[in-house]
Amino acid sequence: MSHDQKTRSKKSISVQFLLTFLIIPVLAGWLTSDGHAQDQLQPSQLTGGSQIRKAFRSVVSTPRSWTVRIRSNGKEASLGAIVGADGWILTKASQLDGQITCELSTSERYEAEIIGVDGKLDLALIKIDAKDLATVKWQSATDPKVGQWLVTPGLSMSPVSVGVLSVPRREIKPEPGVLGVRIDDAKGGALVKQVMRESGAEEAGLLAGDVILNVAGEDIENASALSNFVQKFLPGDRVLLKVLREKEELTRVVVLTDPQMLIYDRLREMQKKMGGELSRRKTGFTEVLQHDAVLRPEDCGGVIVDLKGQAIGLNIARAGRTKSFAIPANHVIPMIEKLKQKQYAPYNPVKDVKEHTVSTDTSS
Amino acid sequence: MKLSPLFNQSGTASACIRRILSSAFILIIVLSVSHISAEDVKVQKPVTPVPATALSEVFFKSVPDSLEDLQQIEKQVTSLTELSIHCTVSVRVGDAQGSGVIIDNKAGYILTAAHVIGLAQKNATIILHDGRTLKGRTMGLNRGMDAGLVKLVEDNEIDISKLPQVKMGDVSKLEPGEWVLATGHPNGYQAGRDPVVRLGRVVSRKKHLIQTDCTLIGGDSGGPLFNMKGEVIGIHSRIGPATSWNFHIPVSAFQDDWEKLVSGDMWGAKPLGQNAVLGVNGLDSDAGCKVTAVTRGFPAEIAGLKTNDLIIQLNEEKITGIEQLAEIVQQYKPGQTVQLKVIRDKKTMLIEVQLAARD
Repeated sequence: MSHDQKTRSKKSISVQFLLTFLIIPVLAGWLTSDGHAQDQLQPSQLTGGSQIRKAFRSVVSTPRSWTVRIRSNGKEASLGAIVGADGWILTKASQLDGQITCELSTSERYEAEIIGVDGKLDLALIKIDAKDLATVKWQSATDPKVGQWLVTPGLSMSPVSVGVLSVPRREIKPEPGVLGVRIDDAKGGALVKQVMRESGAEEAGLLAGDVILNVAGEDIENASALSNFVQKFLPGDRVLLKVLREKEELTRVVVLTDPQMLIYDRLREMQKKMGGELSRRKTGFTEVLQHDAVLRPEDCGGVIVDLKGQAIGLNIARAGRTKSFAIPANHVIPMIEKLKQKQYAPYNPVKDVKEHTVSTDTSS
Repeated sequence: MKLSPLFNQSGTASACIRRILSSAFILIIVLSVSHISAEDVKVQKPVTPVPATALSEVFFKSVPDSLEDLQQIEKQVTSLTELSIHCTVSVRVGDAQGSGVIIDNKAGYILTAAHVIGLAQKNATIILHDGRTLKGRTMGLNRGMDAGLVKLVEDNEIDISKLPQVKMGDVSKLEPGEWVLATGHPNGYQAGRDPVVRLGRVVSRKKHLIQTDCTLIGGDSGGPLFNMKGEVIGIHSRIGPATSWNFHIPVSAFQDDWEKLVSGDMWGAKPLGQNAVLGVNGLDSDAGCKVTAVTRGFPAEIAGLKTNDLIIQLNEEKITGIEQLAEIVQQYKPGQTVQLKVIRDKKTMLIEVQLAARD
C-alpha cells in the first residue's frame, strides 16, 4: 500500500454534515459598498498592527539585543536567541538548512556553525565568532497568566508580533511526518511511483522511478517497511536516504513533511489564505505555551517576553491560524548546556521515537 | 468560510481542516422546518442594564501608546479570562461540534451559532470547560443571522444553577477599535485543554455582523466574544482569508428575538450557499416590481424592505417585474451585497441588501 494512501485512509472521515461556505464574496460586496473609512479600523491599529506594536518598543528595547535573524542559504529561516555572550545562539532546528548566517540587532553579520540539535524540542544550538554579546534574561519561576501579553522581539525597534497567552502549558502530541511519495514494492527497497508537490521528497530532488534502499541507517525491504519506519519521525525531521537511480546509488537528505499539507492541494492553498504559512514542524512538544500572536514560520526560534522584557520561552512553531507555540523557559534553559556539551542522545529513532535527536551535519 | 462545526470526538486539527476543505462547497439542506413549540419556560429577556464600570482610559484611545497603557489592558484582560473560560462550553449536536456560552444558569440557556445546532428540538451534548458533560436541547434559531439557542437539561449530579454564567452586553454603541476577548474550542473540544483565549479589537461594525482580529477557526463557531467588562457581545460565526477577518454575530440578534428563540422558532435564510435569494414576493407593474410580501428572516426583510415598496433598480439593472428580478438576483452569489432603488411613499431610496442562500 502506498504511503500516502495509508495516511489518507486512516484519516478519512465522513463529510456529509459539514457546513462550510466561503465568505469571500461577502467581503467583496462590503468593501465595494462601504465608503466610510472611519467605520473600519486602520490596519496599523489592529492588535498586531504597527501602531500597537510601537507601544511595545520599551518592552523589547533590551530583548531585541538578544535576538538574531538567522538566514539559511541567504533566505530568512528563523529568529534566534543569544544564550552565551561568546556567540552561542539557540533557534528552531527544523528551519535550518545549508549555509547559516546570523544578523544581530546591531546589523553585524556572522557565519554560524551548527553545534547540536535536539529533535525532541526542535532546538538547535549554533555558534558565531563573537564576544561580549548581551544574553537572554530568562524568567522561568512562574508562568504567565492566560490573557497576559506575550511579545516577540525581532531586530527592529518594534516587536515582530504581539499576542496574549491563550492556553496554559500543555503537551502537544506528535503527528508523524512523511516523505511525500507514493510508493510500491521493489526488489530490495521501495519504488517511488510519484513525488508529491511541495513535499520534502520533491525538495530533495527525488524522482519517480527511484528505489529507496535505506532511510536513516535502516535498510528498507519493501513499501510497507518504508512507511512504517518513516512514521517514527516528525514533520521537519531530516532523514538521510540511500536511493538507487538507474543503477547508480545516491544519497539525499529529505525534510519530512506534515501529511496534512499533502492531502489536497486545495488545503495548502486555503491554509495560506486563511492565516498564513505554518511551520513544518509544529507538533510533538513536551510542553508549550500557546499564544495568539500571528507569526510567520521564519519568525519562530527567538524568545518571547512579558511586559517586563523577561524571556518566558522560545517561539517554536506557527501551528495554525489561531495559535503559535512557545517552549517554556524551564525546558529551554537545561538544553543550552546539554547542546554545548553535545550531550544529546544519539540519533536512534527506532529505539525511542519521542527521545530521538538528530544531528544535522548530514546536509547535502 | 463558515466556521465549521467539527465532526467526531477523535477529530484532530488537521483532520478537521481536511474535512472543512474537502467539503467546501457542500450545502446543508434542512429538510423540515417544523415550528415545534418549546417547553413551558418563562420568557425573560436576559438583558441587563450596563453598569457604569470605570474602564481605564486606554480603552478609549485609538491605540495604546505607553507601557502603562499596555499594563492597563493586561490587568483588565487577565481579570476577565477566568470567568470567560469557565462559562465557555463545547456544543455537540449530531455530528456537528462547536462552542457556546452559558448566559443564564437558572434556565440553563446557552448561546451558540445556528449552524452548529442545525435544527430546533434536537439533543445536544454540552461539555463544560472542565470536561464535565451535560445534556442539552436545541431551542430556536435564526439562520439568517446564525443565532442559535440551547437549553441545558436538569442533571442529577451537576447543579446547573451553580454553573458560571455571563451577561449579554449592549452592542448598540460598539465601535471599531474596542478591545475584545474571544474564547472557544478551536479545532473542537480537546480533553485537558481549556477553552482558548484570544485578544483583539473590533475591526468593523455592521448591523448584523461584528468583524474582529481575534483569530478563529473551525470549532470556534458559537463561542463568545466579550467586551472589556466581561459581557458577551458577539457569537463566533465565520471567517475570511486574512487573520483579521473573523466574524461574530452581535448579541442583539438574540436580544431582539429572545421570545422567538426560547419558543423554539426557526427562521431565516442561511447567509452562505449556492443560489442567492432576496426573499420578496411581488407583482409586475409599469415602473418596476411591487413588493407584495417580504419573507420573515430573509435578506429583504433584514434590510428593511416593506410591502408596497416598488423596486425599480438592482445595482445597475432596471427592474421590470418579479420574474426578471429573480433572474437578476441569480446573477449574484449569496453573501454579496446589492443595492436596491426603491420607491416608498413617493420617495426614492437606496437600500443595501446582503443576499442569502436559498435552501
